[in-house]
Amino acid sequence: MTALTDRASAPVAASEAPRAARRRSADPMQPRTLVLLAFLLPALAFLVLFRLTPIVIAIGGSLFTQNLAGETSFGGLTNFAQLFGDERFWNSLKVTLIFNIIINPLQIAIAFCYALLVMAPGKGVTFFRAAFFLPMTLSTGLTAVLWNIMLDSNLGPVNAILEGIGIGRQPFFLSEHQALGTMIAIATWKGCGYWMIFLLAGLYRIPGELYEAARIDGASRRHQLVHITLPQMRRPLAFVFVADTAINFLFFAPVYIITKGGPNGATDLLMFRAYENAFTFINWGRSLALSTIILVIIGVIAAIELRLFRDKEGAEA
Amino acid sequence: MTTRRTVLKGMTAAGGLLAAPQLLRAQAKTELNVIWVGWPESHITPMAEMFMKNNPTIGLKLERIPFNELFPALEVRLQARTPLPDIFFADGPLTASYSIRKHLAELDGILGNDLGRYTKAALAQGTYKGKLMTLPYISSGMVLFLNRKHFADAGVALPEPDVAKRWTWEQTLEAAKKLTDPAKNQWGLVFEMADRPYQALTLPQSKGAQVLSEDGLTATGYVDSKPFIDAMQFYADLFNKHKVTPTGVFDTNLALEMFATGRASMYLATTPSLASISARKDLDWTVAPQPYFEGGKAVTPTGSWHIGMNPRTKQRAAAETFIKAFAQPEYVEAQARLRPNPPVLKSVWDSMGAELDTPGWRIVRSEMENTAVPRPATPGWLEYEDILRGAFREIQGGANVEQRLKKAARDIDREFAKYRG
Repeated sequence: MTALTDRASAPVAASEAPRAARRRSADPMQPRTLVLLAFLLPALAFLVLFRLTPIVIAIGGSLFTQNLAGETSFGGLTNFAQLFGDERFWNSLKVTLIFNIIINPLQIAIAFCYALLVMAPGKGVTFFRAAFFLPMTLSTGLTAVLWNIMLDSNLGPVNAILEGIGIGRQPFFLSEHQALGTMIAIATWKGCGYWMIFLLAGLYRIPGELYEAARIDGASRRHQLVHITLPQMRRPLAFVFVADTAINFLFFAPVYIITKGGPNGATDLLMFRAYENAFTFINWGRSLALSTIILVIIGVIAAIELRLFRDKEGAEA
Repeated sequence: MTTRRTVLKGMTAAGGLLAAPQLLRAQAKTELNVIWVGWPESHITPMAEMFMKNNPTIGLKLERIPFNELFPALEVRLQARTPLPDIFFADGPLTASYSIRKHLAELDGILGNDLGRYTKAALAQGTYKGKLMTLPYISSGMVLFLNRKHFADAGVALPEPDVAKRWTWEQTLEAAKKLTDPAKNQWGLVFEMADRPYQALTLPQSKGAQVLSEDGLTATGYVDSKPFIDAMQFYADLFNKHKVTPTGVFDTNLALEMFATGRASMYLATTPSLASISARKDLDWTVAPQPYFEGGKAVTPTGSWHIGMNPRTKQRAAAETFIKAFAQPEYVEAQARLRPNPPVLKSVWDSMGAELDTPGWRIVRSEMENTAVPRPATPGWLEYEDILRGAFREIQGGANVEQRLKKAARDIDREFAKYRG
């Protein structure tokens, strides 16, 4: 019975097939778009809720002022005007830019060297991969506490070693001239292994044939690096540069834990200033204005970085 | 093999589990959310248990937040202006700041008029515009701890544990020079709170400086006044010129450890150190009063931990019960026995007479009655403390004292603008 029915309906189904195909060709994307949207919706909702909403709140909040009783009122650009008239803001901006101008290329150069070193096959390479990556597994707060103890001017083992070998004790975080450099050093110690992983993945994606052909043509290792590795690494490097810049502009915990922006404003990064304005100076509007400024700076620098990498890629293409 | 009996047992157990929340709800207590400063658990849990035993219908959900994190955490919670926390611990000088921002319920009506039983300084810090806004709970005081062996080895006579024979800072410096031995990594003097105004402000105050204007809203002319600068120059010289005090010791535990392990000969610290140091049986130590400047006056720090009630609490009756309970002498005494801080109730000084009859406590009691000066009353204590703390750190690090204090005064006044209206 079932078989009969199937047979009987078969011609009908066959005749409807072209019609269904016509319907699909009339609106070929409709079912697929809905399905796609259904899958994307949770992710989009989270993106809007946890990424875009805070940004909108920060930008909007930067235009409002709050009195001591917590009542808010529209203040326009008052918070920005206050900041631009404050010498501490300009010092923070200068410190933040110096910090980033040094740390981003430094971290990526070291991470790239790490990646090249651990990519080469050989005995013990896994050990070095793990050793380079290990600092990344520590929390930022713990890293700050650890290095604060290590570099303590009185009880720290680093200073004991320096004194032992005749260099003498160094003030590190207590010196206006050494604090930012020391901060860059510990951030680099922690961050390089992380970026190494991304760059290593990029290195593995470079086709071996390119190197093989270069070797046959007699290219030296340096030539291979300059003419094959670096051009092929443009995309991973672009990602790492942009991500590293964003992370380092938001660098905060070690400053909060160790130096509180000092000595004499030497480590007074914009993120710390934003925190201090919100939680110590009870000025949420000014804090949100600082967050907005950081957001704009990161956006501009990321755009420049992407543009630089894209242009080169385009030229090569 | 699964038998019918096993299935029945399982069903009974599952039913019990499902019913449990209902049963708990039937016996539900009012639960108070309390933010407590992060003292050791052994200083807090017995107090909470005592309260819950006396008030079986009220449960406490305690949150211990470390000292350094407490103030930012409270800013976040209180700024949200929600009913939680119901109760929170507040540093005494923050009473004005929290009051202005409507984070505190008035306590006058709850405690009645029997406020004369509190020590004067503690009551003053809990009061804003004539109204009691935070309940004084424990106070603080300082003594100078001395390592007897170091003094004997250096041939320096020990100061006496007698406020009438108090050393001057100048005498203390001379002794510290003799006690400091770089070869042994031994320092003459360490401060428990080397960068906190709580401790450091007593130096300019000893030179006669007023550390803030009467209305608590102007720092210029006070923080950068001559006696303030002179006192802080003396302070800076301890670290940089005479090198008798180590720089960068901002962690109170580290300072304690330096004294307890013989790395420091003198240690100016609050009373909880009396218990910590007493526990070190191998250490031969004694105490003396905090020094003062020659030609100046003796000034010692004080200040209380207070308890505040959130005006937006939904558990007002239970919160009031909490406030009333922790104002009782038996609670204040029980806390003082757990944590060696000076009691805020005069009666408890008497009821604990035997325990507090030691050289250290005798000094503290005398200081609280005669030399203790609370931190300045200002709605901007958070800003004042933070900015001065940065300045004190940098002064220790070698910054020009006068310039740094002038900058601090400017920064404080800029932040105080919002309170001037």
